[in-house]
Amino acid sequence: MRISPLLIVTFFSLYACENEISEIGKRFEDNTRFVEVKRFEIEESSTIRLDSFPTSVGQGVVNDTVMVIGKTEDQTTGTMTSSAYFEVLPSSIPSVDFSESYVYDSLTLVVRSARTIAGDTTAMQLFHLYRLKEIPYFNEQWPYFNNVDSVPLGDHVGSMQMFPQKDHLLNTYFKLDDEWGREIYSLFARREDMLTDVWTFLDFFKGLAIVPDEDNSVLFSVNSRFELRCYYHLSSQGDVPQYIALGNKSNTGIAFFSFSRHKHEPAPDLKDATERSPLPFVIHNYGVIQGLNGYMMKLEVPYIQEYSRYRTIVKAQIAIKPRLENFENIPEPTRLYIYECDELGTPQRVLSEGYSDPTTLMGNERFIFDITDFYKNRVQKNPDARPINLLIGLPGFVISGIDQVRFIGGNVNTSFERMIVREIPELYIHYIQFK
Amino acid sequence: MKKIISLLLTSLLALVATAQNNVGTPYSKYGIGLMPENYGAYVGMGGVSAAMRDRHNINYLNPASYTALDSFRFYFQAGYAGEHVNISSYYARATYSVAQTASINMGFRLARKLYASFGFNERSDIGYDMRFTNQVSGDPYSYFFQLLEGEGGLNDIYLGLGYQWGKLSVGVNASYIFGKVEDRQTLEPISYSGNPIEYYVKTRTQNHIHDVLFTFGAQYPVRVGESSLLTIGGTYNFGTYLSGKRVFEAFELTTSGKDTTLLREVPDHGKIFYPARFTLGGSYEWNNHWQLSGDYTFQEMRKYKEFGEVTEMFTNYHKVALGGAYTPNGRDWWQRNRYSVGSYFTKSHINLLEHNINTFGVTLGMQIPFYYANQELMLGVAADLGVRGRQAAGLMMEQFAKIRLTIAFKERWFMKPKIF
Repeated sequence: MRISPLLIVTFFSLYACENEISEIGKRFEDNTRFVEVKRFEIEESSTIRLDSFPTSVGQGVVNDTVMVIGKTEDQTTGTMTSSAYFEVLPSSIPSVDFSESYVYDSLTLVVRSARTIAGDTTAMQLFHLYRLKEIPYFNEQWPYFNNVDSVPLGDHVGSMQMFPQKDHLLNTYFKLDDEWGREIYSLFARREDMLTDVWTFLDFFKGLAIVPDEDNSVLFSVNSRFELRCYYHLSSQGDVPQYIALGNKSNTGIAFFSFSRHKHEPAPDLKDATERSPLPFVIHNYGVIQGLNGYMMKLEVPYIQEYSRYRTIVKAQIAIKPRLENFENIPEPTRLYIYECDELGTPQRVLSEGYSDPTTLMGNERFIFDITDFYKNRVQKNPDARPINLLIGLPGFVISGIDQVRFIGGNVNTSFERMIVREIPELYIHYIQFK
Repeated sequence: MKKIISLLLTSLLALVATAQNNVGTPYSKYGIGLMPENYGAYVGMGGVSAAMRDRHNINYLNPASYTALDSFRFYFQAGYAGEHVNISSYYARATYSVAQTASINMGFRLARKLYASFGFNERSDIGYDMRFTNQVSGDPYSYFFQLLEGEGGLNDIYLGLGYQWGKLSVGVNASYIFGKVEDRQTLEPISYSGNPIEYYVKTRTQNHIHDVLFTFGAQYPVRVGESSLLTIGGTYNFGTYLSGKRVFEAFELTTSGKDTTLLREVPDHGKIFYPARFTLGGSYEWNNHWQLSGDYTFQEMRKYKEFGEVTEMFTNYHKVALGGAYTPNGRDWWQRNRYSVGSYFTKSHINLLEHNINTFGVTLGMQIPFYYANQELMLGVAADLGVRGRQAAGLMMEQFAKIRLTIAFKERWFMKPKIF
């Protein structure tokens, strides 16, 4: 019986052993269970141009701080002109005694660049500053402006010429008409009542607009917090100028209001594209996604229903391939969003996981959008035969206006980034065949 | 006290064993699993059984042999097997080690010429764990993990009777076969970045099998000369439909932990056809020292069916076993032992890629008796070295080394004290 303990230990050690089998058996395993990717060309792909999107900033639900000004022209999409309209309000009244010892210096509008440039930067750019004839009307229930003229321009009060290099954009300003400058200065010197009454001041001042010259070739982004500075100094000292600031926020806390006017003259290929009248991809074999002029791609995603009960969707993706050549100095987006829209192209929502950064695979750059949950829900979990319409555009968000009308906000208003899609978008569906 | 400790250890070993995977070979994936090629009381002789009968071992593979047991003793016999296997193919290599409780048997005399045995045996084993990385169909840059796991197997609890009618012994084992065969699968796609995709699928197929199987046996010993004994024997079971219930479930899981039942098929009640099987053999003993025995086993596995479906890859099962034993019968310790050697060849029922998965093994064994006042203990140790399968044609070869330990107690239960 002395042998028994040894045998028992031996067997216990064998019981404790683990299998270490991997990859063996692969060749003879009848692999009828697998993962498969099916690719479908999204033939119903088109370019649309949004009729309307919010361009107001700094007030209401759209709270961007970036605006774009300038003009550029390219052969693919046409001419784009962006102007900035904005209010300024006195933020404070200096406590100094504006006696005769103080004299007016100048009135300037400081423009802070956000340093994003698109277009031909080799030519001088000229911008004009106008005083508005009317107060920009802000509709609380409909806080948006579209891309048509909406506020008439008044007196030309200044111009700015600059060479559009990034370093120059950091410190740019308009020198305004001195006569009007003295008028503004005298308001403060006399401590006019309107300086403490925002609405009276707005009624007097109206607002300003920066309008690019017809010959400009550059669009660049600026901070929407413009500042009007009225400089003065003590006549006896003759130096150390001080200034009164009129800016983004009133001394009573009322926020400023600015908006952009994006005027677009489409290139011949795109002139028929509207929000309600998509331009099919196959006509010119390309699609366009771009900010400011509202171009987006609309996709009617194929409704692929598998009838095997042993098959399930584990991933659904949309892939688009951008054109790599960029001859027109227009920045390409580093991220795109995907939006659900109705049949008419009205955006409904951003898909929860629906963004994509470019993925480079085997030298081919592409954007791949994951729409798995959305697609599974529409096709597999709660199937209905409604068309699956999606929009691909610059990053943004969907805002509900009155009567449930929805708009896309975000980079569509604040970025001129563009992507040309040269190949028809594809839908990748990853299936698992589990039996 | 020693008896109690031994029984406790034995029971503990049995309990541990039931919680283990019994085998680890991918070849066990098919049908009801891998049927043991060399088992029973005579593993050291290549697993011969048809014509084997002696008073030391319960040869539960042929119920006719129960009549050879001592009439006044109660037998308890337990078999354990440990296995180390080296699996290799042309492109990969792996090992696994497992242990299993192969059998627990008891035997005793019921009436003058009627003997009984009952116990627990393993019929088949399933235990595999295969992990593959496969290319996604339709995308040359994507891959998915496939994990195939299986466990379970069939066991039986049997009650057997053996009756001696003249020289002829006949017997029958009524076995209640039961067990669960479970196949699990995980399919998990991998994204371009190498990260798992959020959704993946697990499936589970469970076959619950149970029914009664009768195995008939006969043995006929013939004295050949003064010191030689020739025994012929055989066993047979009819093709039998075993009741089965199959449940298939599929689950969709996410890497974030959410899971959804995709599918749960209504339990499919049906039949598993376990084909007829017979074993024929002969044994020749000379001078109480030498024994030579041979067996041939056939099972018509081509007719195996699961829920009405024939398994295409199955062919008929054949096994040939040959074994010899020598017992010196002397006074010294080593002269009281029984030494055995054997060999077997199995043309299994599994046919993959046009090749049968055959097994060839050689065996060596020794049975060591221990004698006590009212007890006898026979400790059997056998080694089984063999090869299963082949590397050619994308298959795999398994080189295995098995050790089988058999402990058999005999205790005098049925002797009346004689009072003078």
